[in-house]
Amino acid sequence: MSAIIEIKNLVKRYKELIALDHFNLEVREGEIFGLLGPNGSGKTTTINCILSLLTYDKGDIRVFGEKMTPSSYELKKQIGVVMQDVAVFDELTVRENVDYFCGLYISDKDLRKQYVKEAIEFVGLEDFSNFRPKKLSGGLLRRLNIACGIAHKPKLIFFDEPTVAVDPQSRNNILKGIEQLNRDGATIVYTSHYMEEVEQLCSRILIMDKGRSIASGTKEELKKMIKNTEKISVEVPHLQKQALADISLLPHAYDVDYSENVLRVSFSGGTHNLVRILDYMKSNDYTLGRVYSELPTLNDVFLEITGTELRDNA
Amino acid sequence: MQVFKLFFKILKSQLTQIIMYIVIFIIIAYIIAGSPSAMPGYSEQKQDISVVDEDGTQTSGALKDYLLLLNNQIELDGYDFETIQDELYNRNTTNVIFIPKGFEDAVLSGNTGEILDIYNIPGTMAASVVTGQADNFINILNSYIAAEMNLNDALNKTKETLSEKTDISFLSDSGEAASPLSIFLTYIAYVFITIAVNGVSPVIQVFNKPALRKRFNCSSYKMSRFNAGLIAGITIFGIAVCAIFTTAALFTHGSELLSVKGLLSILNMAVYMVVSLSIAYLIGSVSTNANIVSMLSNVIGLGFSFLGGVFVPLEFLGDGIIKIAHFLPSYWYIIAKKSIFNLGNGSTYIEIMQGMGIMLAFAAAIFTVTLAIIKSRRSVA
Repeated sequence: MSAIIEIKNLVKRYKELIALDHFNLEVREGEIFGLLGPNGSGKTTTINCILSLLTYDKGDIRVFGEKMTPSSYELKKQIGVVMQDVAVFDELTVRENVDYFCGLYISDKDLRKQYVKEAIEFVGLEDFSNFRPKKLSGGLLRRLNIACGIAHKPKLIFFDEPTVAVDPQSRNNILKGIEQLNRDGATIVYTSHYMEEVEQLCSRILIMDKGRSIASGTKEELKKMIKNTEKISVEVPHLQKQALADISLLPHAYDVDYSENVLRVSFSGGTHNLVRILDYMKSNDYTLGRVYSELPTLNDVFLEITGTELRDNA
Repeated sequence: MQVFKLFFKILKSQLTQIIMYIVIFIIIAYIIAGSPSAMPGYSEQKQDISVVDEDGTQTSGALKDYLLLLNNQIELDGYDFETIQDELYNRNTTNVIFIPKGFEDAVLSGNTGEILDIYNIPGTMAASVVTGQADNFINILNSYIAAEMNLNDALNKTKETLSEKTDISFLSDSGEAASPLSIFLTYIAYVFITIAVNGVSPVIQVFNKPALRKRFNCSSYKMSRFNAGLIAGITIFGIAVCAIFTTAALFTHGSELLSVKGLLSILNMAVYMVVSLSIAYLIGSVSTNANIVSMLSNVIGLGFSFLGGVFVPLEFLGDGIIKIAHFLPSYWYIIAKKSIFNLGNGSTYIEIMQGMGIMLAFAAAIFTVTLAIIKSRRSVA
């Protein structure tokens, strides 16, 4: 697959603050690319630089193989943007808003009419097309925001934290919609600090922190980068200190913790880890409550690489 | 066309306020035009008086007729001293004039002294006016009699002399004739800036909302097309407002407007609208809050009007204020307007063009500053 976006050694400074520090990125055609990182990690700055909304100090950005500038109008025709903030006109109805933003790209009236209809149907706002934005709920407003960004059928779409402050039902609808757009042929760049969304949606992920790329690849590739392969939690009351020492000696166990009647053991590789723990508990007559086995998450990846939790920063 | 059409869709939300300003101003303009007393001017006023002719001669009758031509006769319940005092106190009459027996003989003998018995409230304007009218009649009649005219002829000549009227028109210190059109055009300086700021600034504010601006900047719509659409919208708005006020002026002061003076006034008005729109554009571009627009509309509208000679004539402003006023477009609008109305009476076309030229320079400077602010913001964003 050819690269649709290529960023090499991008540096962006806000006076003393380095927002992007020799940042590199490659987005391939047809993928859903996730930019994951805590707030302030540089995700939005990266998108603004790609879209030429911000100037940058150093580096090279190419979109569809061409250098992006504020006057790259032909390139911009192929790009759709769904901002973090809802950007619609309160004075216009849903249909008028979508029509206005679509009209910034498509001048043919008949084609635009068809595109507007399709965009409104895509986000499920047919029943609200004559409503003004102030009459819409937060979730419906987000859907309108998406319709305004994608109505002109772009090949490359940026979604900058589109699910912030959205209820779970609307969030699911938005994520399904993004998958549909991708199936219809659009390449997606998706930024979020919600790792579950990125994990669910994206085919490739880049994790950012403090303006730097700290890891990138598929979610499987990212998880392979870290020591943790399995985390087992067992509810067990009154666990003896000796038991903790014994468990820490189990094969591949590297981190053992017991608090609030829950034993947590992290493993780096190995198989049948859960069976070994359960065997030990049974042989020592411990009464067990609930038992979980969790595979590593992107938060674990972030935690292991940066030393801080993604959730804490978000 | 996208931006141009959107300009007017957003403007619709400000329409009520704009129409309100236009309607109120035009109603006031009509009231001013239809009411001579509402503007500086001169009109005769009749006093309520009571004339008692005790002489019953041709001369006393002529004096009574003359006084009642200029005033209203009030019949009193009685003419004793106490009743007269009461009626004067209650302001039922302003003057009680007795033309005593022997009045005609006294006039014919050349006596111009106090031959009438007049009761009034000393020091009042009505007392001075009516006494003056009576004295005037007696003095003129005496003059003709002194010229050896017979009584009939002298009375006829006196009536003729007193019937002559003098046209009075008020001029300001600068010599500008005050007319309803002039007043209409003076107050337009306040109305235009208020309408421009309340109409255009909120629309520009909407276009400048950061999220919308960002979405627009991401689009393939050229910035030059965007600016052209916006400027076209603002221009059409300005033309529409000028057209409405010109039409209103045409209905109210048609004949005066259809002259060189009138056409120059329309041009002056249009130039001031250009300045008003540039100020509105600046306010819309620098402020993000609707309340700030409303506040600035009042501060700038009233400030320009008070300091620039709109609400208070320039002749009444101190030297210091006038010096400050030189930095206000409203001052140059008023100067150009005065020059137009005094054209051929001390003012020249050069003065008019100078006033308009300075206004256009103001507009260009404000517009340049606005563009610089927009550009600096874009580079920071």
